[in-house]
Amino acid sequence: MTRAGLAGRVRPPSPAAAAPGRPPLRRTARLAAARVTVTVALLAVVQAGVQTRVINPLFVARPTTALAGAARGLANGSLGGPMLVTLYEVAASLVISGAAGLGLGYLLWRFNALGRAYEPWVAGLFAAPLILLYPIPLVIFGRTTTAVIAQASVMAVLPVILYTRQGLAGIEPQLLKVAAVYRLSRWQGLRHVFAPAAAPTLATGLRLGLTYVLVGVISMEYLASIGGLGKTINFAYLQFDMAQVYSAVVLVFVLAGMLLALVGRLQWMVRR
Amino acid sequence: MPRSRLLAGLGCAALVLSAAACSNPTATQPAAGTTPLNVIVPLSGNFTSGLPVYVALKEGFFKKEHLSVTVVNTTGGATNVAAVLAGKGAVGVDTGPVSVIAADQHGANLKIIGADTTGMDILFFTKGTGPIKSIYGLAGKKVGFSAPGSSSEVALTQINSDLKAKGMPPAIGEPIGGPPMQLTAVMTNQVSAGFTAAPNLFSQVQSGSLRLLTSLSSYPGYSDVAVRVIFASGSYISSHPTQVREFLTAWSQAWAFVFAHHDQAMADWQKGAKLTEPVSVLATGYNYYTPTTQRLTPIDGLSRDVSDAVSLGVLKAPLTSGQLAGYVDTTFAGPRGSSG
Amino acid sequence: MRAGSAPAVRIITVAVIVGGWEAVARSGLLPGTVLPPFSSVAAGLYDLVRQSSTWFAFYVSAWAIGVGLGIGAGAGLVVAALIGASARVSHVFEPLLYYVGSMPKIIILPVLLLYLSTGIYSKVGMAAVSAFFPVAITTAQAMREVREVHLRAARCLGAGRWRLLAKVYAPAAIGPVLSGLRLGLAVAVTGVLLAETSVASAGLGYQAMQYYDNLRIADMYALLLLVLLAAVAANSLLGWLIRHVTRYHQPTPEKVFFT
Repeated sequence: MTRAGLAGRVRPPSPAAAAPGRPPLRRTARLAAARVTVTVALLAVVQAGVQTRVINPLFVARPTTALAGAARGLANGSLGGPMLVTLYEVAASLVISGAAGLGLGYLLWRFNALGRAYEPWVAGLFAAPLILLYPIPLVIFGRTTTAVIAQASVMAVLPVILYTRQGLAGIEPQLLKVAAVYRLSRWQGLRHVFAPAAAPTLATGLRLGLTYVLVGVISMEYLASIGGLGKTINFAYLQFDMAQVYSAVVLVFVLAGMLLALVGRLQWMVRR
Repeated sequence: MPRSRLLAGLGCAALVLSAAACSNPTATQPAAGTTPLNVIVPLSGNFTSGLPVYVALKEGFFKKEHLSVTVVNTTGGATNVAAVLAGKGAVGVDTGPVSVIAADQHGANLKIIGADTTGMDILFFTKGTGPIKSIYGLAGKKVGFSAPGSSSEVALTQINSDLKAKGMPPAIGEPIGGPPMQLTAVMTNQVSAGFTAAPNLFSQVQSGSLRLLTSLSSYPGYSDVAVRVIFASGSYISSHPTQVREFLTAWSQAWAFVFAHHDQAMADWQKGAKLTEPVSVLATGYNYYTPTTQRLTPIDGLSRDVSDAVSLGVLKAPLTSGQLAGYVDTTFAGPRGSSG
Repeated sequence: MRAGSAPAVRIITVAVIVGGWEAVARSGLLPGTVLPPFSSVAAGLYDLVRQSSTWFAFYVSAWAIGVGLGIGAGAGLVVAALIGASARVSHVFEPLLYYVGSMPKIIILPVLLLYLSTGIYSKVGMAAVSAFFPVAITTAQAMREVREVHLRAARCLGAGRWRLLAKVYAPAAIGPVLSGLRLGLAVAVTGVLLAETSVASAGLGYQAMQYYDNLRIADMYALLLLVLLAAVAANSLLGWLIRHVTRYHQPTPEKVFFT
């Protein structure tokens, strides 16, 4: 299926798009190159802006300084250490919110009354500024990485629940009948019929969950001054060390990029 | 509901909303003949900043100086500096000089125009029912301060030197925030001790649920050091020298009033800042602050502040006296400066 | 379970939560400065809604959120329209939008303060920057996923570029756009309130900090509860709108909206 777009005529299907399996390496490489070019161009604009003082250098560091600082910080561990802490928190939050979200979403689908009762609440909580409640995990878990994981997990579990329930609810009724006809046990039905049918939506939900985990972890670290890169950013900002702030920001991007690419690959695999 | 009606309804809603949106709800017209000024006060409940500002507002000292003041609260430390740099006309008070110097080192062009508080007034406290009876019980424990570069961090550094002198391990600093956050952290065992300054949390001190570990005499080395200062941006000072002088005049008058009329000053402060503490508790501040500690000039001990900045890692190397002089501008504090 | 038992489930849940809250708070397990009893919070809420200062704070925050959301969503729509028009361009830019969107916007608050000052406009900026990304991403995605058969049919019937935009793209995109707006609203609220707790002289976040600084914890919780209820209400309203507008859509696996 081609995507003709707004401007184009209908083009014949290209061999690459029609063939099953991974997209050709050339196309992936070309896309990556295009993204890199765009990013470099944007950074060059910022660099020029800071150097000519159009952008106030007191609040924005030069991209070159930030990148150099990030590389240095990784090499000597001053930023590498916090990055590992943040990675640990993100991974733990993802596992917890993913598992809990899938499980609770399944329960909300399986037990219709629960689902209809709670789904609007979950959606409503999702729309609420939960980060404002950050002192509560601090009280319960102390000023530790566990508090960060708790806050991020709570924030991320909501979209996973919603997408899981929607994904399962969107399964075509014929498939449910098929499962009944074959007298599949609940577990077999789940494994062979429902999960694969709902998988694309679930994967989207997990990807969204990852976004909220990242935002939750970094925000919590920044606000409470605990943990990894968020704490580094806060401290550096309070000492007006903007180079360090943006070096840490660069590493947050790297972390986010790696994880999003990973989950994106997972999502792509599931969509086949 | 037919589509067209829905769209029409949405269109009307959009029009109404855009009409409402045209009016900025926080836009206030300053009184004729006055200049607007943002005063950046970290905590309105601070004796050393909230009190003089609200007294000046209530007693009309700002109005007499043709200033229309908006109080902006922050989370302290570097956010004060960020707020002053942002302001189209702002003066910051009650800020650790280390934060101001750090910003200046990165090209902020801020000037210290007066002292806010001279002498270390930071009081560390712990749970009243807890086992810690003196600062020596803090060795190796977690102790809260507000933020990097603050006077509370400097005070903690002093405590750690005392501990080191006795061969004990240092206390571990946790940047938690102001006194209310310190209270929560201490009461929930996130830290063993926190800090406050009179009269914040003095209800709890008086009732015994908090125990003070330090007093004014705990820091003899700081009795003549300005631990927090008043500052403004260099560009604002050049463009609005009159307003800067007017602010400092009103500030001094406010302090004079505070020390001359205790009851009225406390009432003004409580009402203006909407404080819940009773006046009797608020008045305990008088046991800690005097006209000498609240003097505007001279701004003493800045070199001590600089060496603190170096030991905290904010500055890579000490400033020369020439550099330091460049960050200070006492022309506005002038002979009318000293209060009381 | 019977269909009508959903309200019953909700009532029971609320009762359990309130009861548990009251019990834990009164048990002394946590100090009163951390978790005041529900009864105190409820009393605080009752007082709060009768004070004009609460509603003024609401108006200030809502104004910042609304204007910011409008600007951010508007920009997001424009960018998405530009990106989504070509599959190739969208493949390059969408991931970039995703990455930058995963960065918590609290970090750029100092930059916003610098350019927009400490007043309400920096909060508008926070809302705009926060809301831009969800709207741009969902809209670009929606444009990409317009059903090919609809496009071909429209072209067969002789639709030109603008007709396509108005009759095929727009109706297909409106559901996802509203969904994106819903997400954008949530992050705009978060951004504005966080900014108000940091540097402000008015607004809900500022008010909450004032209560906290005065150790009026029950009042602070009451205010946060009010904010939560308002967010849920706004969210439900948008949800109703989405359901209404997309009721004629054919369901596909990817078209998931929070209803």
